[in-house]
Amino acid sequence: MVVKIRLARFGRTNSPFYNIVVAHARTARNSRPLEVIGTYDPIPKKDTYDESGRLHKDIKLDITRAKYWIGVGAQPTETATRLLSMVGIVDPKYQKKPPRPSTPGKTKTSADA
Amino acid sequence: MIWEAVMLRGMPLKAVSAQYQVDMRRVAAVVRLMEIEKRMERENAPMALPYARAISRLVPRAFLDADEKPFEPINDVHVHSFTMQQLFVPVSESRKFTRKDAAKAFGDHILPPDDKMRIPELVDMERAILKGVPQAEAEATFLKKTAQSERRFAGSQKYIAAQKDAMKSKVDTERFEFRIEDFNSEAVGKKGRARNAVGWRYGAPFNDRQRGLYKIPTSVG
Repeated sequence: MVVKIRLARFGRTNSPFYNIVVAHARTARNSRPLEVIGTYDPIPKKDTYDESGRLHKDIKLDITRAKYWIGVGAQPTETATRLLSMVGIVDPKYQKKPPRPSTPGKTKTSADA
Repeated sequence: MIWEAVMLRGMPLKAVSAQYQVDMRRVAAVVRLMEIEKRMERENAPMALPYARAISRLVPRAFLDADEKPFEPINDVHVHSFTMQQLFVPVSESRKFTRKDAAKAFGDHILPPDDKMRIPELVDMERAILKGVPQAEAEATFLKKTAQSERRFAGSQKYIAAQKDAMKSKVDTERFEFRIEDFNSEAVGKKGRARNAVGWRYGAPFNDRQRGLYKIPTSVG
């Protein structure tokens, strides 16, 4: 059976909290996984004494275990890929490309040259 | 008044506590609350003023500027239950049996009262005054010492925070900053349900809505 790295939703109504888990693909979302390798708190938070209003999200991840599971063929889901790619464990699925010029050929910017 | 002394005049918390006879923890709490209020004012956040007025009518209020009795004891030593028992410790007469030795006799982790005091500098000041040091001079040294000890404490706290921060890798995206903390996922105990293990437990109830359990946070983050 395929082993997946995926998120398991815990928390409450309107306040989700995810365990980043390694589990067999066909088991239920919140069933006991092979291993919990981290957590992901999707609710953005402010720093206590920071007034810039910049928000952050907290992730806990056992990087060594994540690397191991990727190494033995565990398949991260799209969301898990997004999280794992932040620490460089897997390649990001979507990379931000610079926006294409709307009318190519007409105006050449210095970036195109 | 407390906030003014700490934030505007830059007095150390211990000195403010001693001056107004208010517990150090309460001083810190007052400063934190005032900071929150000031921030809300700056942000033009809606204030629940009628609520605040009603509450201040309900709870007893103390006026610190009136020279009345002290608000609360500030330098009380917490009595550990281990020290409540009667002990018979044979000690040779040639040996000096100090408070430190007494604490040790009660248990290895018991601290002598001198180390448990919140403001030991206050005792030093009183001792100095008894020895004949003029009051003003003793107070000046008290201020200096408390400021010093607080600076040391703040420094160590800052260092710890910096160390913790350095353990996290930060990824800035357009909207949020992701803070990724590495940890050891194998330290979860025999059954994988250790109390300090990371993540939600499987098969363990989360008692956040159970009655009769304290849910008041015991530390300030």
